Amino acid sequence: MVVDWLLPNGGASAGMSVQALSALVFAGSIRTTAHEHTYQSAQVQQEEELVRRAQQYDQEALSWFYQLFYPKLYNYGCLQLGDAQLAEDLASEVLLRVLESLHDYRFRGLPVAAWVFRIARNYVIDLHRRRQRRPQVPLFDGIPSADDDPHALAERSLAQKELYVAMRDLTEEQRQVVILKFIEGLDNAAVARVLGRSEGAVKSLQHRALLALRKMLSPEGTEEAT
Amino acid sequence: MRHRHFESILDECLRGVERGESLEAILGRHPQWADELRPLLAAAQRARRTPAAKPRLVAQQAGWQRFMGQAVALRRARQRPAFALWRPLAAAASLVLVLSFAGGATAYAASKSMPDDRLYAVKLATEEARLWFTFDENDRADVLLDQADTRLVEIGKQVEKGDPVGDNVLAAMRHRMDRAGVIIEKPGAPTDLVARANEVSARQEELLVSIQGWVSFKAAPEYGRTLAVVHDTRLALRNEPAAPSDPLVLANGVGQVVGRVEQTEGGSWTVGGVPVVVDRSTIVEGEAGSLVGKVATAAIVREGDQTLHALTVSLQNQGDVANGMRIAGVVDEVENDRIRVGDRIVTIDSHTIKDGHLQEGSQVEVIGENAGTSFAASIIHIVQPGEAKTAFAYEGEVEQVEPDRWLVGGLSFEVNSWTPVDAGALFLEPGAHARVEAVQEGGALTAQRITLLTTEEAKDAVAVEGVFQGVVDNHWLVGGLEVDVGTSTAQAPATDTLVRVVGTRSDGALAIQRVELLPPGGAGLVRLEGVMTRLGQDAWLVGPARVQITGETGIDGQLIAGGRALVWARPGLSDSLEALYVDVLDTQPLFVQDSGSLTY
Repeated sequence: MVVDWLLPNGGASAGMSVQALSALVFAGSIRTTAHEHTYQSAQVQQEEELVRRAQQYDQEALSWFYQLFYPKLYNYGCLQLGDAQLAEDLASEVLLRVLESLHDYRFRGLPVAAWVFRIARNYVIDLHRRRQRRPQVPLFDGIPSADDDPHALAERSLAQKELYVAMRDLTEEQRQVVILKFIEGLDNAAVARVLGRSEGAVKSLQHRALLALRKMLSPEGTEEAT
Repeated sequence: MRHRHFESILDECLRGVERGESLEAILGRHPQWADELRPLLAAAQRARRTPAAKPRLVAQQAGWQRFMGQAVALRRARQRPAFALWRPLAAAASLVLVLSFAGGATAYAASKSMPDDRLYAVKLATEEARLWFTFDENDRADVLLDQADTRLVEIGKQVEKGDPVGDNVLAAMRHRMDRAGVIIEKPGAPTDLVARANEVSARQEELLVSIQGWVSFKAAPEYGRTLAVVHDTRLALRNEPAAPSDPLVLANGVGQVVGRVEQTEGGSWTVGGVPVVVDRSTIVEGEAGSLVGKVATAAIVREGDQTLHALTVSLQNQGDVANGMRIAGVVDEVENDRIRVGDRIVTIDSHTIKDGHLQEGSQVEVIGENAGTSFAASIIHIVQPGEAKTAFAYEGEVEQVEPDRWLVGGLSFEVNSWTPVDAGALFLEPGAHARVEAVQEGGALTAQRITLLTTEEAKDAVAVEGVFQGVVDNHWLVGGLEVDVGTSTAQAPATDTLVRVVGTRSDGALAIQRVELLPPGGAGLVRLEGVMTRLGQDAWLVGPARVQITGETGIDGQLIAGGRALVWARPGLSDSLEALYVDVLDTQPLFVQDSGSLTY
């Protein structure tokens, strides 16, 4: 296998088949649409095919995998840990763990994201247990990003900080539901898989999380919803 | 029941929002719940619209390289024969086979291998094999600590060979400490195991700080990660809740400040007048009680906002201060565990760092402490031929201090994160004088050590010390430093003599007041740096070494008990050294001498 040691950029090095598959998966891997059953079925098949290829260490499939999940895991890490450095570590380490277990992964009809975020959640729990750290709010003075203008960066940083602070008083499970469902777009079944709970329990957690968030998020922000 | 029903309605509404339906249309389907649903759906929308944090491209790229590297390794492992599924057992069996049929030659050779050897990976794998058969968790932690300790010895040997310290040995140390830490940090770990982990991790941190100059550029990130794990393990063993250390900050290097600890009214700390952040991630070593007023050594890192953050603060008791010393001289004799330098016995153990091969005639500088009848070395620097021609010491007023540059006596010196600053009993404040040991590299002056001085010299008084190399266009060349001597009429000393030129600065030139010839280097001569303790009329201890002052001794300054001094000496008639020249650095004692002993 020839390995391109450069970070794949937007699929430039990826073959068309992977691009086409990944575009479909990117767009709707975790959302349900008007034609949800038909679409989901096709999407699950395509995701299964990509995972199967990744299990053979196919570079294009791995590149798809990495490109899809690194930013998601980084964002998840920022919201869980409030620290860009820790979020970078989380994204890298979780993807390595995913890679190590990839061979044993068995597709069960749920989006692969459910499995990846389950590993990420375990990583965060391990980190908290191991470090026994006091809660930290060190960041959100600006998560570094080379390709942003300062105005956009400041706006994004502010919005994230507000959500991060609002979520600090949620239970760990409630926080998971908010991030996985509303930020990462997983459906109830996938969230239930990550948490090891029933879908009914997820609905209940979702209700309580939104009740708590409603009180903590700024009124201006919540009234914007239409 | 009502609750369950409402939760299902809420969930159905959230899916409607996700499909892009308007809020009013959704609420229209459940008018009786509209008031309750509206704020919840709005909160969900608010969370959903939060823009995602974007990762740094450089971090993503670094992660990708690790990811693909791991993928390649896993792919290769999968391609091995079927017994790869039984890898641990197979590897152990292979090891047994190697030991049985090959007489253990490979394993033996591997056990002696160093990080830059081809067999080093075999050595690490063999260590792993040992862990597979260690079933008790605490025993496994003990073995991991042993293995981490082995890495210390390997690093020491690499430095001795003059090889840069690579990332493989650092990573091996990190992995072992990390895994040992996970076991030992659990509640109920045996106290002796915790004590041992404390001891090993403290030694590792000390070594990592000491060897940073030998870490290869490529290994700097791993250096930062390793030091972070070691420091965080130490904190965890102390049950100290603190933010994890930042490997990137640590990768930039660790500096040292020695001085008296003070706290301002605002609660911030200074060590020797240098502002230092002391928080829960700072490990305080030494006596219990308040830090204020005590002399301490702080290991510091420079944070992104340029503040200096203390990793550790080691309180120095009077014994530490009196027993610590630096000596320099020529090695007269070499044995396995000791060398003799100017009649002083210097003991060496597996934790002593040497940056070259020791042999008779080597010019060395040793940092260490008193160990009864001998001097235990922690670091031995073997001076390379020609090094003295580019090294000098310069003394003058501290005019400006910036994160990467100090202006002293009109000269600008580059400083690194790890440049040690010894403030003694003094404070870095306007008017302070300092001695800067520096080298000239490519036209720039790089400080290697800064010592604050107490002096009653005039504001513009300066001194330069080094090997005199000649006169060029009214400039004296001293230790590589060109000194404009203006209209001074002082006679130039002989070439290659060690000199101390004292004078005042005037219009950018040095008006020479006196030129002192320092004792030349050579067998039997030593240079000592330590705190002076008076033993009798002319008998002193410098650090732990007994020194006799004679009528022939040149003295710059006033001899003072409890103050620091640089002393050039040679073996005397008894076990004392005979001082040839003493440069007193302090006019006030670090400690007050009372009835023949030092007390606070």
